[in-house]
Amino acid sequence: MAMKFNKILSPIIAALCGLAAASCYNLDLNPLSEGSSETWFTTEDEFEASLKNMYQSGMWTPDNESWTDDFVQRQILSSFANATVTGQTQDVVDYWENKYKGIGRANVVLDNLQRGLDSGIPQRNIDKFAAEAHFLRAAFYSMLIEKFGDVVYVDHNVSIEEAQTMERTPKSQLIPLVYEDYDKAAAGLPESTDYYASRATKGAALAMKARFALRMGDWTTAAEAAKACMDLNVYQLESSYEKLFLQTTKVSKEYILAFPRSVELGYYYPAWEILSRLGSGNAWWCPSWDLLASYTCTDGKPIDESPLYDKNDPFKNRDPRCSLTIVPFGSMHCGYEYNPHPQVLEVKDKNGKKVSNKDSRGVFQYASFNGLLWKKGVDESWTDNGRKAEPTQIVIRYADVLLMYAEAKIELNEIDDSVLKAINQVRSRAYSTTYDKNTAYPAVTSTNRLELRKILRNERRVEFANEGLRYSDIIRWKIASKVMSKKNYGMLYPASAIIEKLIDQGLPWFWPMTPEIDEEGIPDFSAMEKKGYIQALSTKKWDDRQYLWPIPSKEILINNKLTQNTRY
Amino acid sequence: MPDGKITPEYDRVLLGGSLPRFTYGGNINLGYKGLDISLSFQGVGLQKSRMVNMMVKPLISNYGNIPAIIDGKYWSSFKTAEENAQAQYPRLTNANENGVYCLSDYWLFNGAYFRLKNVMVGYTLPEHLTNKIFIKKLRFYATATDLFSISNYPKGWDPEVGPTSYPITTTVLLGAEITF
Repeated sequence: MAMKFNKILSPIIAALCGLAAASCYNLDLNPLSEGSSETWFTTEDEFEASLKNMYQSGMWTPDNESWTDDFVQRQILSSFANATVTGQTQDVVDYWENKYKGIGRANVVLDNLQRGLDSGIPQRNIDKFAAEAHFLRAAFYSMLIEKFGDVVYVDHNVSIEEAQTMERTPKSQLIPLVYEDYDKAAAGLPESTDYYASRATKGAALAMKARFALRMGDWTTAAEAAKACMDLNVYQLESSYEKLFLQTTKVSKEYILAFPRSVELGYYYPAWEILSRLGSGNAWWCPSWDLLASYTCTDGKPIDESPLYDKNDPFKNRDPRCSLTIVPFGSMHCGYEYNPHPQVLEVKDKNGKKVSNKDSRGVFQYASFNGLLWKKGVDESWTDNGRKAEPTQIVIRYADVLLMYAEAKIELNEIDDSVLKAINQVRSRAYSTTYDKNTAYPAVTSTNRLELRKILRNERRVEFANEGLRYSDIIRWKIASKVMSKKNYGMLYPASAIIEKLIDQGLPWFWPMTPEIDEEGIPDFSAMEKKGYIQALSTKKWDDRQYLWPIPSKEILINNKLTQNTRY
Repeated sequence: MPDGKITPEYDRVLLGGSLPRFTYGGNINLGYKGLDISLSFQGVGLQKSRMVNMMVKPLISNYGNIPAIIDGKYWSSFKTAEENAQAQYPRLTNANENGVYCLSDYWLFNGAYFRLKNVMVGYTLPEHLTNKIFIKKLRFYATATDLFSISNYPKGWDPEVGPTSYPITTTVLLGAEITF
């Protein structure tokens, strides 16, 4: 009887004991072979991984040239050039999303500094990580505020419920917070790292702070930050302008923040969009005629005033950056002679062999519609690797710091030798000389504020063409309403029209009249258009509401406490 | 929201989903004396599909062609008011493409289709004839795959294939089956 009792009871007792024992164990465990948010930020590698993640390409996409007056793409206009930007425009939606993604991740790093300390990471390393997170957060907020104006401010990891009740904070309250982040970054980051310019440094924090301040119209802070960056004596201008943009240049003393691209790792530039037709490219992302007209002549004068300008060879006697940015007619490019002349039916390749000239619209209708192609950085190696190129993505370089310093001082009306020196350092480098040899290049000597403003603005345009800076420049100078309402011009088509109206009349086939450059440095082609010498490819449109971007519609649909920017 | 203007934040109405509402398919096999016919078909009964840009917009990127379906049927300032009242497609514009070609119920249509996937017709010669030449069975057949589909899609567009993929091709096979 007792045995039978045991047979029934012992399994029951065993089971009860097991249950009791199991309840002493916490089964809410973290995986041992993967990261999880409860155990992340306990080692330095984990901090490093999280910080490096915020350098991903989507968070740092450069502003697109198609939003500016430096760019032409056949007869197509981007929505920014067409005044049709809405809260559903993909570029707008992606921008907002990617920057807040970055901000969220920076906040998570900052929230977890204590956990790192508690896990034994030394204080000085925690401080470095904090400084980098502050830099990244400041950079992302700068980008948001520049585009959208008042934005939502988040400085710690928020829950979804909390996020859905947040409102936009006025820009004026956010600017000091961004400065604070940059200051903390500059204080805590080293002057250089093993990553050269592809990771945040003290100089990068100062330079980006100067950029943000300048775009916010805060000249004093901009001048101060730019000067602090210059005084570090860490950066200097690359002696060869051309070298800065070649895909073989991965490191330079001029780069302050620059991310190398890599075809092998999948981050590349689609060179096929800009290469010539003979170079197997599409030849449809082209520089505009406005940009070509902006380069001064070697005497420093604009082309409508200089006696050196030659109507029959628009690339002659121009600022050296002209032929390094735009492919000169008759030069070798991608292994072939580039000549868009409508009557040149054959050109020679680099071995002297004659080929049909597909880069002339007299031969092939998809050659460049305005005869111009981007040259900056392009050499024959760009036709390799399936026309994928890996030029370094330059976020900010030393020439920008010098010109930002000069611009801020000009606007403050504190014009002195240091201002002229800054502009002349950039200009003399273009002429392959140094700023003190002022007979070897057209040195800037004027101290008149309005004159200097015009010179500085044009200097920025020709120095930074195709680097993603023109958009912010035309927005902050408030000239977008003017330059983005003009037409994009190109040659007449078909080629017989050029031959009949220009060549047979004894006129130059390209720009038979020299465009007038106005007091703001903006070229005007309407005189040629009226005479029927050229055609308008497209008419850009501008709506002043576009000085600020619309908040993405889906954000407002999710959180109706967000208000839309005016007139969207 | 009564703010006096049309904006994407407040004035859009959900139009529905783009997935098929119901799909169907089947097989039919028939036989009569030496003849055999088998059919298989499939299709979608109800689906909201959209006339994508490529179907209706001419000269995309200065590179695309002009869709034949819009020829003569679009609003034009060169036409009279009565002709324009009959127009089925909007005026040609590049500058205002975001307004004209944006997703609205104007561009939606019923994407239902019926596709005859497979048809096989075969004829087996009578045994007493083939036995004379020492062949146990002789059957001739013709098979057609993807013979046709019936749908509301514009001519040339395949209901199952997106605008940038290669269309589905019809194949016809003729064959003979001989068993010795």
